Amino acid sequence: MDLEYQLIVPEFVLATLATLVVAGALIFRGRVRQEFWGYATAGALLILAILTAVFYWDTNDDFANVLAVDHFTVLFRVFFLGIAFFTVLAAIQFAGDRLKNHGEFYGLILFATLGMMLLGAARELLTAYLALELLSFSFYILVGFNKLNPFSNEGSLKYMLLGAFSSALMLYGISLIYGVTGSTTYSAIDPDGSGIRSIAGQLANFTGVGGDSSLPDPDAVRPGLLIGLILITAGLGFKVSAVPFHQWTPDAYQGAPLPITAFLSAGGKAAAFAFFLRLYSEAFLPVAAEWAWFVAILAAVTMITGNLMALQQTNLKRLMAYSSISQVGYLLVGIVALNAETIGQSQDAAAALVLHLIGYVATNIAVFTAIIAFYNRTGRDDIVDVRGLAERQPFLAFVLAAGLFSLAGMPLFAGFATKFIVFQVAFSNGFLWLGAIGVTASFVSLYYYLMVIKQMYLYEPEGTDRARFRVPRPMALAIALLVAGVFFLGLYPTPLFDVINESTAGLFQQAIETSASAVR
Amino acid sequence: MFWAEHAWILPAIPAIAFLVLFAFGRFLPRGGDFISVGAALTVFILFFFVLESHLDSIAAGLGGIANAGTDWVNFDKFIVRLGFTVDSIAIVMVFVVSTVALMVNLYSTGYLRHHGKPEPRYWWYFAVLSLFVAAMLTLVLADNLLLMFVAWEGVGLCSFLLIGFYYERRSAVEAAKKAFVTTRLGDVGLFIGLILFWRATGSFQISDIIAAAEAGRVNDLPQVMGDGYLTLSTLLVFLGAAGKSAQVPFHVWLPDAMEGPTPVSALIHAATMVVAGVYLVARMLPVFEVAPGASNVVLGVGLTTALLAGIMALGQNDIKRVLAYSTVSQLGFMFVALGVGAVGVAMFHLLTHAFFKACLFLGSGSIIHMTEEQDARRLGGLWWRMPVTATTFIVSSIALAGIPPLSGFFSKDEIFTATLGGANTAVVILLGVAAFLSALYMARLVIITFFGPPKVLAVIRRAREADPIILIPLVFLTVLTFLVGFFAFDQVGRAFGFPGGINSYIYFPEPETFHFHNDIAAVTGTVSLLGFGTAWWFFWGRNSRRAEALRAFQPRLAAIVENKFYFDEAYQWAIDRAVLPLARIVAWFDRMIVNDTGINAPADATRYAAYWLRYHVTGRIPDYALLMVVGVALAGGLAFLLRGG
Repeated sequence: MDLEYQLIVPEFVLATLATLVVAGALIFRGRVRQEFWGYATAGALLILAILTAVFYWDTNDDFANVLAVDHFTVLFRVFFLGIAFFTVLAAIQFAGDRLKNHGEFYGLILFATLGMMLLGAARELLTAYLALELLSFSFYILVGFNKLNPFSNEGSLKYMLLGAFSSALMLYGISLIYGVTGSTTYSAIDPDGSGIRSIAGQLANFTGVGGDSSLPDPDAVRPGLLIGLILITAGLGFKVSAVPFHQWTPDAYQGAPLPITAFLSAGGKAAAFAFFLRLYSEAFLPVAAEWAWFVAILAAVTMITGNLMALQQTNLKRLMAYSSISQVGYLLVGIVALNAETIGQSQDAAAALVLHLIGYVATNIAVFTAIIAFYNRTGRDDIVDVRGLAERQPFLAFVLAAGLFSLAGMPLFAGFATKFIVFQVAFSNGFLWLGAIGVTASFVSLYYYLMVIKQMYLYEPEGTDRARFRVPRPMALAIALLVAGVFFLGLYPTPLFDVINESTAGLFQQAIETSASAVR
Repeated sequence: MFWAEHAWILPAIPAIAFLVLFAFGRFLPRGGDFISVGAALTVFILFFFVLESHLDSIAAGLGGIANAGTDWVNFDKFIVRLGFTVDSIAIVMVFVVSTVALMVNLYSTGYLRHHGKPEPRYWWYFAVLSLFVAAMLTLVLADNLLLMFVAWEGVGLCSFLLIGFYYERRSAVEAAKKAFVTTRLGDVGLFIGLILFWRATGSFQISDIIAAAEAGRVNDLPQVMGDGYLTLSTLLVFLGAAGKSAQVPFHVWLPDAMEGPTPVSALIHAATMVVAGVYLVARMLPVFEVAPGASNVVLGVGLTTALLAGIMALGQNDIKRVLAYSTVSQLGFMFVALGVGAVGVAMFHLLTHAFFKACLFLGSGSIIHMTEEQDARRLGGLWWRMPVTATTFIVSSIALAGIPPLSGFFSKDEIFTATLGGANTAVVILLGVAAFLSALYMARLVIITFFGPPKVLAVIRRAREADPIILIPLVFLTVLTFLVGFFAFDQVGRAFGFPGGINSYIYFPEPETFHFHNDIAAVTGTVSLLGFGTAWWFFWGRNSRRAEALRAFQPRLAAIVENKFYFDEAYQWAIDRAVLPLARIVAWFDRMIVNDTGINAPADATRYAAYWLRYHVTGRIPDYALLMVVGVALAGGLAFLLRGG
């Protein structure tokens, strides 16, 4: 088989770049300003993102049946590169003030991004697992990057131990699925006689129509399938921090250096959801009924617990951690809605999920960048510390307010439009109760977001440091761009939605080919 | 065809100008006023490109209607377009808006300065002015009611912000509030109306709604109201139009709106925003004609307004207030034309009125700017001190009064012709009275402002001719006042490239040509001259003692007129006696039932649940792992229960 290496050039470039940054910072230690590595990384990421979008958009191919290079992959490649770009921009001043070994820091961010890109492209379970581990290991180190801070160490250790535990769960699930289907490939579109056995193809047996009859009696292996699905879902639930697999999240978020918290909450989630979505729509769609109930319960519990816990928080980072947990609940609703009457409806759910994901990530990075800018100046991150921020730094206060309103799902902002579409899909695909919980949970969330906004706008600054301060230009520009994006998405989501629709359509190709009746 | 199909660029330019001014205006030299002026100038120039491509499309036999746009929202059956239409009505409106906006922008750069120093919030003024132009252009180009409604509220917002521009003044704040709340009443009607139309036709597109109404498909689904549904929706839309166009009984906000800077009055409260109601009815006129009784309501409201406002203008002494009532009255004329189904005529009067009224307002602004006095009784004798202002003001007044050969004469004459053909004689006679009144109040204003001996020495001492930047727009608008009237003649229209005169061009389905009848023209001309004569008889020089005598003869009648028929007092009484007591009951219900019980109880329960829930966070890794195991185990158990293993 000829391997078409040109398909995964961006991954190679990124890996090279990461190695170069780590090595370069060691070689030129002391001779180059530390900030240089940050700006170089950011610039390289931006260029790579643009080139990837330009050169790969029309690709619809497959690397050795292991990595798909289709619209979905390219969309997420650009998305991840964008996330990394904004994270690095936000991190430069922070790293300069508080961290050492910048080369390693940015290099690890690049390795994590590489993991994300591979994860979004993988269409084979072990490849996906390896990508996930690359991502996770980078994050274990990054969370504990602030070596001298005990919180950072604690967060990292908890994340790593529980991460290992969840990996074990997932691997066990993968082996069960392999046992049931005899394959780890998600789906094989047009096997052209090569006779590749795929999970989706084998699972079609369970619906009684189509598929390969070489499989043992479906009823006999059914328990294995069910347990396998549950274990994989649990492992994924850990990665996206769904309740009850969420408890590492607040500790890791609080301990990690702030830019890493941002990266974890944006990039980590986005990558896990890209994996989640591709796996469940390409491979597991034929048996949607077997896992949808579990994901639905996870979604409901996550939305409720995440929001209730957020009410109790006094620390901004922990608040954002629980906020992100509750956002995961809304995103899971999109996964649940994949279980629909027709493939078209499943496709709507996938598009809605990706749209909400992008809106959430853009908003979250904006909020975190603003928090980082605040933290750079004050070194504090409790909710009461932002008291009077509207006086001291009106721009940051505005950005935080806009971002938090967007997370709460207020109209005008991205959060409203995207959440609206997710819930609408849930309603029209028959998950009325789930949508209702989501809407109610959003009400609750408004309370704790408003708590922060109230501190900023209704009180005078307190303490010794009440002076106005400036935000560095590159950071202010990044924040302004993100907020403009949040407004644009909120007012006019159609263009992006069209792009996403085009991207997610590919995920359902085999489901359509195996004919609608076989899939259900 | 490029420009007609990309007409969205026109509102986009001032919108960008607004964003720039909003973000950076205060840091720019001159408050960034050149950005606003530049945007207005670009729009004005681009208008001619749009016009040219529009006329090309007519010449090519394509009908001259260009639609373009994209879907704004598209979920299931709920489709809202971000669409723009260029047709003849839109062309007229864009011409009016772009011309007056440019003139007002230029004028404002001179007006908002005192002794060369810009007023406070100078940049903010131009930012809002740009936003207004953007919203107004969106309003006139929108092809669907929802987008139009968004722009409609946008212009309302700008009007609110600009009336309250001097928010240090209590009266300005009150006026801004009054304008906003009063127009809101109509807007709610408009919103309900457009939802009713959407419910019946499944579309916000104006063309779809018109087609559905003409096919008799607008009726309520369970057939309770039948045709009444169409009339109801149409009248609710008209409610919005009447609110925006200050028709009786919503007229009370417009005179108070004169608290804003005078150029704002010229742009928003005379030439553009207040005619949005006329424009909306003109757009939807086919629906009004199908809906039983709707046209008669339009006619009745228009006629009442034309008459009442004409009388009220007589009792006012503030220059700007006289002009405001005159605007209300002229808008009434336009609605009368719409009521008899003459769209072209209404749009023609809208066009001519926009220019001479803008000129009048800007002229009054010139007076106010120089003398710092706007009570006409304290002015007088300004003719010699401010010759350019006086000349342009007088010419525009003559136009408004309807004396040939100025533009107002042609358009008003058209309205009479249309009314003679479409309504009964009583309407025509009452309209004649209203026309007489307009000549009368304008002549009165001119006489006591510009002629006779100066009343207050300090005022006349300050009176000097204003800066050229203020006079140029005045002269330009006066020239337009001369010219646009002749557009009515087919020959002139053709010379400008229009197929036929303005009238036959504006409204395609039933081409109307200019009906110039000597006898009608003679009568209307005479009525206007009679108005002038009466004004001379009562107010010229020492004749004013006759006015005094008349007033002493009927003091109570005079008080009624001067107090504007006690509309404001009646409204205030209704608010105090009916609205506020009702509000108190609602407030009690809200506080006790809704808030304390309905909201706080679930909120407390939520907080209580959250309080207990937090004990699951122990911070210990074994506990975290245990929870994960429990989760998986429970799921496994449930799996065999739910999915039957």
